[in-house]
Amino acid sequence: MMVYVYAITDDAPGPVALEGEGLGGQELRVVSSPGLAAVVSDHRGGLRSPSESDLWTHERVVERLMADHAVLPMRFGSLLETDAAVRELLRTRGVELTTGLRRVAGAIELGVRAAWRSAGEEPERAREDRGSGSDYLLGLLDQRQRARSLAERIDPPLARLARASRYQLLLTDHLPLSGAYLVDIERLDAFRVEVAELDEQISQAEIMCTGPWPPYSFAAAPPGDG
Amino acid sequence: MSTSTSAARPSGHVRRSARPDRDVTLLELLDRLLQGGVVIQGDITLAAADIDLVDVSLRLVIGAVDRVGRDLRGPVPAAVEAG
Repeated sequence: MMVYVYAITDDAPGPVALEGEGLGGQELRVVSSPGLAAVVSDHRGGLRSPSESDLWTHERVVERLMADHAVLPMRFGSLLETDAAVRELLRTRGVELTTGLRRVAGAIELGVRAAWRSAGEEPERAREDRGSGSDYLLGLLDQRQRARSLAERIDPPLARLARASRYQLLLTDHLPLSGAYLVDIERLDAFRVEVAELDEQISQAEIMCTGPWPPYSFAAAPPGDG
Repeated sequence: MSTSTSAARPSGHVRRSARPDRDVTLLELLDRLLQGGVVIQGDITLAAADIDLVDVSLRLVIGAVDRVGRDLRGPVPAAVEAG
């Protein structure tokens, strides 16, 4: 028997109320240490072939908790041997986890993706085969340049509405920007309006907003933040 | 073990944006659950020990990408690239 961990929370504003089931229909439980609580369920066997619905089960458990508590979601697949090991995790990383909970309290994560609207915005694949090597490299540089200038239009107005943000350029040729924004719950609507306006203003890319999500992208301390 | 459309959807308080379709949402979910979140490290590590996450993301992503269609032609989360 192992213990699957979904999320870490604190005991404010009150004890954690558990609803629903965990992976494999298991009952949800709380393992606590002073000031911190982990929501877990018993787990038999491994997780060798998790399905999409397993991912959604993990996600739903975290989302329900998020309705009443500040939550640090665990990465999918976080298994420990015993409740004692969970308590040990809460104890040894107490400072980091408490700081993290403070960082995300009252906020949600929103995803932003920009995708080129037309194939013309993408790099010319043909260069790879027919053109010279330098043509190809120039093509890549140009693509990177265009993604960067797009990000310079999209990110600043969104980052202004967010507590924290991060983005990646060119996750694939088609996605010049993939971003995550930690946004105060009260600013959710304003953020979505801003995304919709950017989508309208920027003709070469389609800009989409997903979420709200639990703060998966902000669960770890940012670099340089002990 | 279906990777297709029958999976349960979130029913909690969290609303999905109306516009991105189901597969974009699935890709975003995979990105977050497999690359984000608190990671167990150190002596007590057992996390993900027997999960082939690359396999999970490949199976699910290939299904999703096939269906995403025009809006996002072929995004692959870095989880797969990292594998």
